[in-house]
Amino acid sequence: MRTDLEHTQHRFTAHLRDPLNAACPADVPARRMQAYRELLTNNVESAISACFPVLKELVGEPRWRHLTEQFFATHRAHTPIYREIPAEFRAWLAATPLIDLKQEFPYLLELAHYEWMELALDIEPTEIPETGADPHGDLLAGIPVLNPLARMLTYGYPVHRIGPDFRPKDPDTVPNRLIMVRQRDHGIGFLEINPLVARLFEALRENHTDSGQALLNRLHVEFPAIPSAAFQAGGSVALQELATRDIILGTRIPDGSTTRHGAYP
Amino acid sequence: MHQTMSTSPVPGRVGLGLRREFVDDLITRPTSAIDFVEIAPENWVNMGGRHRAQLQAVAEHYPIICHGLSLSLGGPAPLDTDFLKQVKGLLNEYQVPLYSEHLSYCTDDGHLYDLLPIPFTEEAVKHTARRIRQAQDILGRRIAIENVSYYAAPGQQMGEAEFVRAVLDEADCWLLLDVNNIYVNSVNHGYNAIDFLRTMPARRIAYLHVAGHFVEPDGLLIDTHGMPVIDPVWELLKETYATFGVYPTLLERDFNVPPLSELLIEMETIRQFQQPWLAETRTLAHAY
Repeated sequence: MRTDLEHTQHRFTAHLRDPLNAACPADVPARRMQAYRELLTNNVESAISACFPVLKELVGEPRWRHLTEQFFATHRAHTPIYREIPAEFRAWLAATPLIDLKQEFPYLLELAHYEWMELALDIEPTEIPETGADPHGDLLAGIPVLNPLARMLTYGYPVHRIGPDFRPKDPDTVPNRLIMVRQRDHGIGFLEINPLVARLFEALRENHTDSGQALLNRLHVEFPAIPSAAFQAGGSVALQELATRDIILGTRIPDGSTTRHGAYP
Repeated sequence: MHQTMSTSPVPGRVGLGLRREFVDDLITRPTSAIDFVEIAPENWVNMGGRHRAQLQAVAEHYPIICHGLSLSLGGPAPLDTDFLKQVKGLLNEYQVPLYSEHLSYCTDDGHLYDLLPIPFTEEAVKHTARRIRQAQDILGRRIAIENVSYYAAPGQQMGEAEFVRAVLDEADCWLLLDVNNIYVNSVNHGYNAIDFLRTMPARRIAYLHVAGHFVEPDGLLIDTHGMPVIDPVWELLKETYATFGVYPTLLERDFNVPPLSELLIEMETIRQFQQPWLAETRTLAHAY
């Protein structure tokens, strides 16, 4: 049973969320409710739009506004954190039919994921460890250490190129693989990768014992078509490229020592 | 039953609400014109990277107080105790002397992301005060609640001032007295701002807020924090000092944020208005 107070509050918020389907409370002037409605929907719209600038531009006003209002009317967001509203919006997009919209923008959910991922990495509480990796270490001789804030993303659509001038109708025949990373300077970096680098990234994530060289030797078995010398050279360049972009932080330093060289005089 | 409240826990006389637009200025060119900085915990808890780095840098130069947005003290859904524990962690980490929230609610069975008017009823007094006490128990400290701007009063059974005082007494908490909100409400609901001001309990005031607001074409005032402080609000701030003595005062600016230098001019105005009443405040404090 709702109390009188809960009744008053739920009648008030029901109209604010969905004015067409819930009546304005009798003792509140419509003009004042409209003021509240504008404050709420503007807040929610701006929190969402800040995260999805490309999606917003493609969908276009006033449909974007309508979409965020539909989200506000039907979804119950449980995060008190404004920067987490986009995550709720993305989940709502995925769970809501929106058949026409998804037909017109077949990449809607992939693009939403891609744009949200940038925000998610930007606020992620995990930090890059300050110790444990030597950024100047030899990536072939040492054990490469992966940045815990590097994510491999795979999309059917080339979401990183979609924009007002490029609206693909069909997904690519080969998956688009990207690595997104929060770098040491806190900026978010992107790297388009081929299947070999994708496999290398996966292997790096699971690897805690092999040197870069041993890892490449192990992986070469999976790519028998590539001659050994070319594979080694390509792998070495890839390791270096990943390190340049802070996707690899360096080579592992044993616990208890601050620098690889300083530990053993 | 209520213990005598001590002097304000807020460290300093004039503060500024932190915005991303000028956070780098604050860090690279620290200024003694800002005694303390106010942050919304919702914008900083559980965030790493540049956000944590910025907050740590700000905390190196300025004392920080917290002003929450999403706790929904008057709301129907259970108090978000998980979030409150995160806030507690932030308060401890940055040695924050005061956490304030709004005498408002922002949830039904989900969040609505702005400040809604708690019905001015006896039932709401009890409900809200109970939740403030619950929050204070979890945090292990007294919090402050702010009188908010409201544009409607659904289910009203008592006056706004009576409601505010009743909640403060029942919850035994601090008051964050928002001078702009008094002005905005006095215009939107047709009452005398100075009369309202004089009914507020001085011994509960922790600090003051002052801000600008937006005037709708039909005359309705909206508390946007998007404009400079206007003269009638400055006058009301002076009246506040004349009535209660000087309290720490924070300038809020959340939209149309101008260069920091413009905000520093407004903060200097606050400092000047405080000047004549500083001796008076010592006398008043002694009287308690």
